Amino acid sequence: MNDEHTPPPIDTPAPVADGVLHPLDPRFIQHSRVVGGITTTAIAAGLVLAMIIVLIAVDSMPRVLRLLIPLANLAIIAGLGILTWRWPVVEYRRCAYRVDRDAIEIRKGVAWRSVINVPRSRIQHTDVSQGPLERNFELSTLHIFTAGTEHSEVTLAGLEHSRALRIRDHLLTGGENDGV
Amino acid sequence: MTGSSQRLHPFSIVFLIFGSLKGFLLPGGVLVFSARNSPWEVWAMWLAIPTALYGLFRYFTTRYAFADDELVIRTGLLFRNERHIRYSRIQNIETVQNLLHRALRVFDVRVETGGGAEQEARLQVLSLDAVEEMRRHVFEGKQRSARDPALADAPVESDAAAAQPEGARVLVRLELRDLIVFGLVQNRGGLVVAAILGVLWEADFLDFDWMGSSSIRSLVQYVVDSGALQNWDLAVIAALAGIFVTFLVVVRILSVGWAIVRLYGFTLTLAGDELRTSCGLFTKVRAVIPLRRIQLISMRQAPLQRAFDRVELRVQTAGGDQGASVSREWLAPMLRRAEVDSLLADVIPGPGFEAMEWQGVDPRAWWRELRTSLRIIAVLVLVGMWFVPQTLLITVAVLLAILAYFAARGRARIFAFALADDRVAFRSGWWWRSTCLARYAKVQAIKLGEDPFDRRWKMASVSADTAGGGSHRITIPYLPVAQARSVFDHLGARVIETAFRW
Repeated sequence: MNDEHTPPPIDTPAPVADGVLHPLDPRFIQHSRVVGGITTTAIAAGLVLAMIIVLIAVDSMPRVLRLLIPLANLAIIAGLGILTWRWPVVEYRRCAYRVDRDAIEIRKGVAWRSVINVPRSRIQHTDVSQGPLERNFELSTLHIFTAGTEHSEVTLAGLEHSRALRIRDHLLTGGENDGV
Repeated sequence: MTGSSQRLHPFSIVFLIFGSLKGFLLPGGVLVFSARNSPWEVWAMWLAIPTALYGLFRYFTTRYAFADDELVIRTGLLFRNERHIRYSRIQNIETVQNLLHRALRVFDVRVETGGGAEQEARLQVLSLDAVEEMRRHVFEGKQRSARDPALADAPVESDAAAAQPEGARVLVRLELRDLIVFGLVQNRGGLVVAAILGVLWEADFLDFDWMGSSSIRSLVQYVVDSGALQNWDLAVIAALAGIFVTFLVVVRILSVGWAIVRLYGFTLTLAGDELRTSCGLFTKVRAVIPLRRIQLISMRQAPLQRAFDRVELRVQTAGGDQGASVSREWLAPMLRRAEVDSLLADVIPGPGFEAMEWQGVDPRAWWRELRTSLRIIAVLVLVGMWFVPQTLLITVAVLLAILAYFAARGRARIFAFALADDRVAFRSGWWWRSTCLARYAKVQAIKLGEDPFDRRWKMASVSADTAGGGSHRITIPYLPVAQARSVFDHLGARVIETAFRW
């Protein structure tokens, strides 16, 4: 009974620092699909517009082309559509992160894969940012800034907002030994 | 907050006005001496007056003060700016003295903290005493000053190296002979030629009659018109080759001149835990770099340097390197290969390049290098088929492929890395070799990367990011996946153990 009232020992890592590899929030897939959908729609609109202009403006066009151009257009748009639907899933599967007492490890990339390890003591500051769409899905992006050159900024998108805040708090506290 | 605010040295007026007017000098001079006198350019010269007044204004509105733990610089009158720079964040202090500065015994001082692309503070100009006071404030509070008061009080800016403070040790000193070799192996002549051409262009010397001969443009015109380019007889080729060789020789001579002007009397001194460099024939550049600010050490060797068994050694501190003078980075522009490790031992005690255990990359690395080159050659051949005669194309392609083979073999052989107790090193390059070294305490992030090609070969790369700029980074390619993983984990574990201090 008493245990409930004793504060946890200071050395106990925060709950986020469990050293386990976590996937991103599944809502990130929906979020990516919406972002991709907007882009695809814009590209599709442009393509259709260009096609209509070409079909109207060019009189002497072989009938084969008149048939082929819309078909090709349709194929491109369909391809983009499939990509928009599938890619976020593939990307989601390849993304993961692990936070422990001393560092944060971020894995991402489908073709160009990377695992980046940033020790806590090297973090200069962090940002948690939310775009309008991310806010809608209660997601946010964690930006980690180091003094490095190539990795002066490391980002991790697709975190649940409250979790991102907890990770940020964990990364920033207790770093007094880094000789600032 | 201690220390009252101070003005810059009164001579600053001269330099601030001169600095503001610099942009007008060359066009102004050209206006006076050249025939081109457009009224627009004459009128533009009147802008020089407000510009000069601005220089004066800057002198009267700039003040600096040494607070307990920060340097405070106030500028401006209507739009005031107060900049606080913590001593503990200062990466290095550089003083520059051109001939005028030297005649007036004042210093142009630049302070860098590693924040942005530019130096964080530039105080032009300060007297010797003021520079001394600044150096004491910035670098005091370390045990050194308590242990050895003589060192803390000793002037850093004493002109001759002989007057170095007690306990200071000269690590590197370049003689004139070294500079000549440096100029010969380092092709800096191109810079000089570019600068001269720039001035000539500005002054229209390339256009009107010059030294009695027709202009360069009409010379080119003449060569084209004469049809010499249609029938390449031996004489033309010989003449062109002669011009080319002469040009190369002149460029090398200019390069030696450049080396002597920039690096005359180069010395690297270790005083306590500070590195001090000093060099320059006319413009003297001195820099103070605390040892603990060194982020990355890099060693480069160009083909000619290898022939002379020389290397160049640089230190990278954090922060923008674009505006900084190169001379500050130089640990030694010119050093015998065999002397590198003993110099390193003074700068970052521990195993040097020779003492470390180097590990090569995957033995298949050369084949991947070669495949990349062959792909590029294949594309070139495909493009070339439309323009180049077939026999020539095949010959060139075969020669390129042979070159690519040796390059791939060479590059793969040189790729290597070394992990020691407190540091990681990496080397690469075939003709131009680069080796760099960073202590774990200065590594900011570690990355394990796999691109699509890597995956096909079951390889990966590992890189260690530091705050030091420079083109050569620690990025170890072509490691077998398992080894890459273990190097990545090792680095991660070692870096976490150490605390990063700016």
